[in-house]
Amino acid sequence: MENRFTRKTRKKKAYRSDLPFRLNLIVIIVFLLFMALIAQLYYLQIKKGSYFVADVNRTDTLVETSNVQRGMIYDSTGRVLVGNKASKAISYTKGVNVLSSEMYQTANRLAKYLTVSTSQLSTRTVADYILEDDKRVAKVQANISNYSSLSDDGKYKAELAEITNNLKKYKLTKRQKNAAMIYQRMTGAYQLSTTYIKESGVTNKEIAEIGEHLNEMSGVKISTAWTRNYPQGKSVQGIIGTVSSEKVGLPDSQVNTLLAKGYSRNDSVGQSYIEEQYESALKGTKAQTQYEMSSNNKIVKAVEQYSGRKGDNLVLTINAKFQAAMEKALRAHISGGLTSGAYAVAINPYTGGIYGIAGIDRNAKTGKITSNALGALNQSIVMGSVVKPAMVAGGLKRGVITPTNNVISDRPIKIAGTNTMSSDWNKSSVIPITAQTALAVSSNSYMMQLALKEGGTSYTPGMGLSSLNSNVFSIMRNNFNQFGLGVKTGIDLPGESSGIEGASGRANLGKALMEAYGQYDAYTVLQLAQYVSAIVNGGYRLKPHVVQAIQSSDANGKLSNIQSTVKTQVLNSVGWTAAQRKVITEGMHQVVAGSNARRTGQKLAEITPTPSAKTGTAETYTNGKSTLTLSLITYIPGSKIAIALAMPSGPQSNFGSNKNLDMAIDIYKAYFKYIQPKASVKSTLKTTSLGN
Amino acid sequence: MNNIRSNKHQPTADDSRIDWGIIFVVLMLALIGLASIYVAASHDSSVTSVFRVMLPQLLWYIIGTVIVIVLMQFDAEQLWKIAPLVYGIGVFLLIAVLFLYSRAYAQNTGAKSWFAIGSLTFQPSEVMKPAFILMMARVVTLYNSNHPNRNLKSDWRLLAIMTGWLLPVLVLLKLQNDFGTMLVFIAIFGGIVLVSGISWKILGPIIGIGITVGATALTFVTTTWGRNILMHIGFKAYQFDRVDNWLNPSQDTSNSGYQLWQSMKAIGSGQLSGNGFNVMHVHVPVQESDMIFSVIGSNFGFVGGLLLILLYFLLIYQMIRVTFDTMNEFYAYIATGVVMMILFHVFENIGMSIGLLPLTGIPLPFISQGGSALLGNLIGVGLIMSMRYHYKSYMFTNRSSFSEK
Repeated sequence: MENRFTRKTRKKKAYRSDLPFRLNLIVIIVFLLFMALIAQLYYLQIKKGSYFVADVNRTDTLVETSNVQRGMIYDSTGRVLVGNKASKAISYTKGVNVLSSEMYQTANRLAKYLTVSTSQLSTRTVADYILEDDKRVAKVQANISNYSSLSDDGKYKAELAEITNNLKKYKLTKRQKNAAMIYQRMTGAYQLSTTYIKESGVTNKEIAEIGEHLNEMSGVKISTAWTRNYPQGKSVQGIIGTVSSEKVGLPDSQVNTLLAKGYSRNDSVGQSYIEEQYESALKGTKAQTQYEMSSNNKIVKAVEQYSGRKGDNLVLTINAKFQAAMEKALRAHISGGLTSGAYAVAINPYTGGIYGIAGIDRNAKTGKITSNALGALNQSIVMGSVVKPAMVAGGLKRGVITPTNNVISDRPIKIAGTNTMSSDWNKSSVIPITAQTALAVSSNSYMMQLALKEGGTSYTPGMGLSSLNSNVFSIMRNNFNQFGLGVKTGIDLPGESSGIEGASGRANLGKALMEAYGQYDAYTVLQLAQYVSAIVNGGYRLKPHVVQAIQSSDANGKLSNIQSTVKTQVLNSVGWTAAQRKVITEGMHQVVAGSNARRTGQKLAEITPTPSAKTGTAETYTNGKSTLTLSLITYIPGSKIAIALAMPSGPQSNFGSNKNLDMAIDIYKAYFKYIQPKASVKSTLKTTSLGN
Repeated sequence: MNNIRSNKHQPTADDSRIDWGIIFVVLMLALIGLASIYVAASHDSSVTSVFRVMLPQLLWYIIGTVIVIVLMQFDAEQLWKIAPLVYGIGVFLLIAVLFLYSRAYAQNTGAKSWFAIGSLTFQPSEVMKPAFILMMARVVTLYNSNHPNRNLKSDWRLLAIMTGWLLPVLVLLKLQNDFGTMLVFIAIFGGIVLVSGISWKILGPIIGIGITVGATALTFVTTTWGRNILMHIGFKAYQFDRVDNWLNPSQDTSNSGYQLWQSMKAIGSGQLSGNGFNVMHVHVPVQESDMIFSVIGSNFGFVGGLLLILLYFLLIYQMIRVTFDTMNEFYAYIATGVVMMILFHVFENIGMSIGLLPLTGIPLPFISQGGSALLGNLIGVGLIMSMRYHYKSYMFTNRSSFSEK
């Protein structure tokens, strides 16, 4: 046989004569493919080169923030109500481009020295933690059928599912759980943000050991964590509210809003009441370092933009000791039976500053009493006769009575188709009384007839209500609203109620007569406080507030410069004349110090200087039983205090018990003791008397 | 270039049997490769010591050079003899790796293609490539010499026999989950089929069908309605990810799309003449191995990329020239296989780095980091060198003792 290696050259030239052509074809193919590469290279580098250069030179800026101490809260006398307790903590700052495997190693190292509570360890973290361990990953993958045919994403999901569905098979030891929990905290941090790994209860041994090995664990730091503490006890916490802990993070309900405002997920944030309302002042400004990142994800430069500022402090108008005395007064005089609680507000009627908000809830079944200061602004109560001064003012302003001509006969009121309604003290007679007397003796009949007059009609026994203007509800309510009854007061605390309005259609027109003496709509005690303030200060509805000033702190953490003061804010004027107002103040004076033997506030005369007041007794039904709500508005002319209080759902025996007056007497005494000495009230009476 | 020999030149000295042209090109590529790996490693934050990346590569080059020298001693007869043996060994290794593959590498790459002993890794499919080329060349040469009077029927049979040798390799690579390497073998196969002498009446329709199917597939995966149809017949949405990344590299820059987009940024920002040696502004993942072209494109720009492609063209051209010079059918098939292997690697690797082709794990010959791939390519070079080294003996010694078994 011939030699096939030499065949072509020597013998069978014709055989495979197409080989050179086909080899050249290969060269041509190579040439064409390489031309395609060159063309694409040309497009990328020459045509679009400048675009890519611009993209590469683009830098991103990232801002690292670090937390600052939250502002403290002081009472009006400078006592610390809410402070910050410092404790040693272990924190972790996630660097740029930190891989999860690096965090895994750091977590394992740190776990050697630090023990954390694993109660919040999530299944997902357990899975992720196991997936960082090469040996265990191989085991996990072996247990997944058709693993290799899955996409990258699908593989990861399958691995997670395999672990979470078979947690028993992939158990962690106690030590591993500890490390996994630390890993969970670390992975929760954003790039360049700091999170606490353990914020309380870090032992000295842990600190010492971690300190020795800090350089092996990048990002781990020994730092200080702050927790809220309450040196004056927690009774004030009811209005101060709470702060979310770093562990819990931002409250779910507001998480998106807060993130948009620049919070981190694990920031602590005021969750309720003052802490929530004044969050922006209290939180301070985080320290900021701006990092410029190249498109290569490397830090080009770091500039500290702002060194951070401790949160500003709040100084409250509330006097902590007075507030405690108020609560004590309520506790001392609360009645039994079905009484559901007692709430009181003491306010400066000239500024709207609140001296104290006290409240107690009473469990009608067990009789157990708990503090609930906020009840004063979120419990709507049918108050009874305390609304009468406003009713009289409404009649005066509408002109159906005048300061000089306001005598109406008190007598039982009989409307066709309803039961007879009368004042408590006069079930049958016809007794002409002035507006002042009507207030002093708390005449229901007088108020009902005022309502009829405002509705464009007047009383005749057995009358129908067809002649009554169906707008009478809005006429009365508009007037009440001007005093603050039935509208939000605008206090600087979240969650106040605007009261409850009863139905007011034509079918309920008869109820308008009950509305006239406070037996229909429900109001909050805070609304009563705003209302009495308006009477005291000459007719201005003031916005009540519990914060007096926002102050920064000095280097020693003491109160320093005032950042802003809460100014007195007039919401509206009730729009009466001085003569009209005088009818009201005289009437309220006569409640305590008048000559009529049936006056309802006689007992308050114990206090000197003599207070003015209007009592209220509302007949209510609680659990099917007839109950009584006692209420009161009172002030001392010339002083800087007005008090409103209510004790809903007490027993019928409360009638005439004067428990509401007893509470006020105790509160006045506390006022003189803690806020304004009696002597100064007398002198101001002479100089600043508004002439009632 | 003047040392590319033509068969018209009289061989004068022993050293003229050595193809200095190929050595020159490979040496240039080796230097470019080492420099590029140096740049890539010094910008890779996970690399602690650049020296420890460079040293193995240098060692592989030395080992490869020794293999080239050894291979040059083999003449056609010896290559003919060892072809079935090396094919057998290669298949054995491909089977063995299915059981003894490195778990860690499989975890990282998703392919069960590596042996690992300590820090040394070895990919048998890389050395399988030259073995497959040898075997193919032998099969075709043998068939052609047994069927001097070719007709369509005998051509079909040749095609069937060739496919028969290809299939086991493809199946084993499929089991390794190494799609990129499968394509390399198909390219080698296609090249040898083209030059095997099979009639155009067979090749024409096959190429036609291939182009039609390819174009149809491309239409299906790039259009929404096409994808809907494909998803109806069992394709999953994630399988289109690769296509999407390729079509819109800047769109999803999370996973593999990120790698491609970073590479395109690096190369694009090189513009005409590059940013200069060792100046990298863009971080490209796996830059030392598959994405090494991004270093060259970024540092030396369009000019550098063009020169590199020309260098490869020169290498391929010289390899083809050798077959013209030797006028040997067996050699022609070997050279075609080696050319196709290098062509496919270069085209796919550079193509994917610049967004022309979808991403696959294919290294750039003589430049990318990685021992087994370098070894595979150097064996290919060794085969070509041995042709030049031995061809004179056929011209001047009239050996006819070499006969079929």
